[in-house]
Amino acid sequence: MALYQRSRIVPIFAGLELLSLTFLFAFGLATLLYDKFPLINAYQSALLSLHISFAMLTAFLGVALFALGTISKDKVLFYLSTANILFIGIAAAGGLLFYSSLDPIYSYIMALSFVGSFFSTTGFFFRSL
Amino acid sequence: MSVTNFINRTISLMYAENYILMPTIFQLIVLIVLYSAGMAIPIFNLGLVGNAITAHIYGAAIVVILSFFIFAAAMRGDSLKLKALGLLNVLFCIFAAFEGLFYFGGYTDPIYALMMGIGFLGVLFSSTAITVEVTQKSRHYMSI
Repeated sequence: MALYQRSRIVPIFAGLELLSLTFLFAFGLATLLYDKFPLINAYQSALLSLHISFAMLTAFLGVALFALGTISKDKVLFYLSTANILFIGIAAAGGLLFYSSLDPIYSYIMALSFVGSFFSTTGFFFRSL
Repeated sequence: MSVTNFINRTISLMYAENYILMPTIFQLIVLIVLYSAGMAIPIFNLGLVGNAITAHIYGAAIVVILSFFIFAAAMRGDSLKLKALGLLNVLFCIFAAFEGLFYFGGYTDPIYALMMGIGFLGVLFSSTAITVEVTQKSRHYMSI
């Protein structure tokens, strides 16, 4: 509780999550536009690796935001961080299913739940400022 | 009543009654439609013909018009944060629109589609930020 009240750590974490989401989206879109499965070139696998790395970073920061939202007194922060981690979970499941089955519908689920995650994180950031 | 006068009065009403929230939420909803239609095109290999691209282009037109309304309404107020976010909203909309026009107009390099996606992120960010800011303000206005 003291951590939340005294420091500016909540908007800092939310801003880091926003940055991570932006890079995640950029590399994900580049993967969609430049990659054809099976991968044959090195830059294609580099794009996919960067996308997965930023996805993991986003998931970790999402857990941190959820923890910060849970210990804060603001109910809206708690709801937004819960929505954020749920959307990240859906996107991660969609990504893993897409990677195993190469069915485009899972890629679409991943893309749609990204919007929810970005919305929740931006709301969290501006609410905590 | 001239058109200019009508637009002036509409924008004044939008800010005075704290109705800037209405076009912003409408913009967010249209953004989700635009994004679902736009992402379906490369994911399902639909090509630049048919329902998806039509929904995408009409959605983009509505978002740009709404972003100008939001910017104008924000400029009537005294909140510097809302003014800056409204300006960001318009600039990112125009950026994404021009990238989309380049891509649709014949330069079929995927980098234009990528930049369109980045512009979409900026619009989504500023639109969400305006929604949160105005919602926090309206709690204050509720008691009046």
